[in-house]
Amino acid sequence: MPNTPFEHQALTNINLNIKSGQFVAIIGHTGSGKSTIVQHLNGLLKPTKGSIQIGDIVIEANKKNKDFKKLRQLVGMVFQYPEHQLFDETVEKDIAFGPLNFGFTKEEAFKKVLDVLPLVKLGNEVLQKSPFDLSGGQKRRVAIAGVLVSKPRVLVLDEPTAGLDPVGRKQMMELFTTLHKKEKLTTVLVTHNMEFAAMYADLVVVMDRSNIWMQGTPEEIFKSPEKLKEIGLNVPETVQLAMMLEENFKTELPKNLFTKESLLNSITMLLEKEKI
Amino acid sequence: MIKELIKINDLSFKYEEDGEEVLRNIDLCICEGEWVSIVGHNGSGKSTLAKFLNGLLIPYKPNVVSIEGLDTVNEENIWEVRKKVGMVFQNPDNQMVATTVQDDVAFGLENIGVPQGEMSARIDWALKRVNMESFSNYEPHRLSGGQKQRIAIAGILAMRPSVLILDEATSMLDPMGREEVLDTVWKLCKDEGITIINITHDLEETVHSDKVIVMKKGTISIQGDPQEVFQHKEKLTEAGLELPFPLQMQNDLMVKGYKFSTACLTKEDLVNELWKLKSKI
Repeated sequence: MPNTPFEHQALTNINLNIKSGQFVAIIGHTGSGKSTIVQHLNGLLKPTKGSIQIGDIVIEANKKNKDFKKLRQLVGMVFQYPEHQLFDETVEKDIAFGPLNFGFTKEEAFKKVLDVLPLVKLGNEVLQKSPFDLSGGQKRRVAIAGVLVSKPRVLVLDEPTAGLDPVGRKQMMELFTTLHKKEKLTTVLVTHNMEFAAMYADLVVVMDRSNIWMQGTPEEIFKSPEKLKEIGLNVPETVQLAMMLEENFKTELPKNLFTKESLLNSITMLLEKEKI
Repeated sequence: MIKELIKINDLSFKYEEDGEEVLRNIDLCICEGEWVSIVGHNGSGKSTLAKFLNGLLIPYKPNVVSIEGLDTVNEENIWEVRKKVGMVFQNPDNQMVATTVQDDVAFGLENIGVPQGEMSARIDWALKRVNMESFSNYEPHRLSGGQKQRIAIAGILAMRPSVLILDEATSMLDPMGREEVLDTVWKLCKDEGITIINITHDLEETVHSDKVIVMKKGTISIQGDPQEVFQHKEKLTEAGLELPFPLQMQNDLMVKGYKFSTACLTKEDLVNELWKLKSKI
């Protein structure tokens, strides 16, 4: 809100390139600017300085933009607690809301709804139910279907697993990685979960006080816990344990132990090494 | 002598007459000064159970739920029960009612008619306990999630309760905020002797508890101290929970044929055990 008492610099000199097909994780503590960045990706916020290019659409500061509709079809946004945005009487109508607004006929829109349901692992039996009668996990799937139904090429996920129990969290992340591969999406994931960032991302962007503090592959980012701790973050648990083992066993372990399996292999090797 | 604070005796409950039972034959006893964790998947009945502890829900018959000897079925006990048992909910933004931090903490005190002079002393005391004394004139909505939850806790503390219930109070916070809140509550338990009931679906939060209660489909599936409860790895996974990371690693190592003497609840435990294993080899 420039020129008002609420003016506040939320992002400063951000330079970021995301290649098509990449899985990008944005990490950083609350208030670091993560959500502000992603809201620029589909034109919910416009830059006060600089420009953003997505595909061949360019958004520039101080210029009127006519491409927002196209942009919003291209970039699908799943907000935090997306189930709070459900509003219609039936699941079918709720999911069809996007396509209807983008100018499709009712028949076309409902056809699209049928196509999108299996992607979020919901059956046709939910279609005529009220979205408010579903369980928390199902509600969230319906809300996500409402985004996917417009066939976005870029999927922005703002803390999609917040508030879910461990099983729900795992299912949700599996859903997104499958979609990423199957639909050849470009995915931008905002998360507090270092494990997810390490396991799924090609590129990790670390935010602190409106700036990009670091960016790089998970290996590059998670090799220096001191640097992350400075801004209140930590490395994934697998890496924490690997580092404790390195110190106690006076040894060197690989730097990319981001999965339990790879860590397990390193531990077995460590235990067997001097067995003669 | 350890004092029984909360006693539940064969509690069953359904929200609708012909609906499913959300709680089934719950027996539970919580003692003064204990840190109790209630865990379970979404919909396992843990929040419903919590609502019985401060009279938000009331049993159908007498002698089912009693708090410091007060039966919640009696209407005249309800206000006393609610003074004794405070509850912090999941969403920090839904719990702020006033325009400054100190007014927010004062809200409960005003409701129970605490005199002005005593009120400000209690507010200062409560804010200090949650490390927020320098924020007393701040606007609550400008604080971080962790800070807001600590204000909510202060608001309850000021009422001098015996029991503090956290109903998934950390699930919307970032890791730092979560640590702030848990540290604060830990101190309250150890220094002030307040009984803590932490409802969570994160087993990691339970490893330092005195007692862990695992809920599954409305029943208590396991209860005991963490060492006992974490022996039942299959039951925990069945209940839709995820074992703490060190325990997962230990489990996988056991599958590979390594033998351990105890359950490793922390990374330190696991490193120590691995060290023992290695020296045996």
